[in-house]
Amino acid sequence: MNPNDWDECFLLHQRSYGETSVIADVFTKSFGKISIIARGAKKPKSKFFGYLSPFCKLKITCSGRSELKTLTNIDRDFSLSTDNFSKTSYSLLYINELLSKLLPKNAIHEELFDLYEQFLEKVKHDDLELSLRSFELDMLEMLGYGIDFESDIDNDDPIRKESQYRFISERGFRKSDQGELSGKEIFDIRDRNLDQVPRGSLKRITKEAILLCLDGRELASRDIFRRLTQ
Amino acid sequence: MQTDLLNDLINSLTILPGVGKKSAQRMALYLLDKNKDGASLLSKTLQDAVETIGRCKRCRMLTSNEYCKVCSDTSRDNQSICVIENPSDMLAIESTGGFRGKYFVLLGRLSPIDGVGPEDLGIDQLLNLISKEDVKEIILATSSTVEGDATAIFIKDHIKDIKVSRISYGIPIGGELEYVDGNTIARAIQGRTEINVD
Repeated sequence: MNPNDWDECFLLHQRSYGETSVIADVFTKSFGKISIIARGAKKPKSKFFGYLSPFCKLKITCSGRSELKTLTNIDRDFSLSTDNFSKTSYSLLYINELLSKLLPKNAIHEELFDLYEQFLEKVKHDDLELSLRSFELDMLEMLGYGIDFESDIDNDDPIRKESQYRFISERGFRKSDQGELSGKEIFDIRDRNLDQVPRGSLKRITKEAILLCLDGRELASRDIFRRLTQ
Repeated sequence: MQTDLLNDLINSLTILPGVGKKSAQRMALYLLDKNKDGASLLSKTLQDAVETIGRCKRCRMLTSNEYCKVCSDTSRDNQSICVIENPSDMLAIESTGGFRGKYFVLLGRLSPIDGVGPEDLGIDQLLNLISKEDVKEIILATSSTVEGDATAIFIKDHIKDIKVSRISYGIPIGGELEYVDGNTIARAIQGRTEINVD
């Protein structure tokens, strides 16, 4: 990483290091998820003070050859990020937790970076739940955990619009008369016409698919979300 | 086998934040060589403190009694509770003398990625306290970070029929606008107050 090259990134998580420094996990456009150390970032006179904040695009330069890079410069467009914390922000914290746990370090994911950027913009106006589901489905696909929307898992028959199907975790869709989704709804999920699909079923599908990727690790933000009165 | 107490002492001192091997060595040699009385007093006080200091039953502040100094002070206002993250925040607010109510210490803030949830912050204990006492106002003084805000909104969401306020953001006293970061200025403009001249 060249210390003079500016890279765009989003902050996923930060933790204190020593008295005044911060170690942050950032999702950069050109290098994927990396860890950086911001020395002295908690001192009010530091040039990093007030900049390290999630949900807004940052521009950074880093130096160092080890896995932990040293933050050398940071910039951010403050005019775009005066939104206060709201209940929507809990969902954004959830997405950040997902990315923190699912993204491998130092693997470039430019497509996912763009998706995340669009998502942060979209949740401000669109239906929150559907935006979340759509992000989850796209993310799973980009990380290689995509769901097969084309064929029945038992016999590879193509999915038919008029039949009923049941979602089986880890595998895909199986034809079943008591199934909760019709073939048409499965195609709607594939084509991201999510408002045509029952929300409960949609949520169950993405939840199970994500649970599988997490390999048994828990998502703490879900627990917090459950305790919030809607 | 010979025991190496000096070495043990040096290693024990390195558990303090900001103290490395070299400083620990200097401290140990100073205590043993130059100030043995001070060293005995320190060890006795430390031992006593570790054994007797616990959490205040009402606000979770560190104290050697059942209730901390603030909670047992009857001259203080029982009707407002200031919710803070750490014991050091209470010391910071107390040193200003500007607040005469009582406190509640969360001992952290909601942070899903670090696995800190509502149970770890004693939010149930806070809600319990509010329902038992005649509280009129809750002042949320968590830090102004995303996690601090998440904590504040979470608490606000669980409190009904009581005034809940959040400490304000703004320009530091004696500060010039030119040198204040953009986000703070934006918040300061949003949270502006009317000038009242008597």
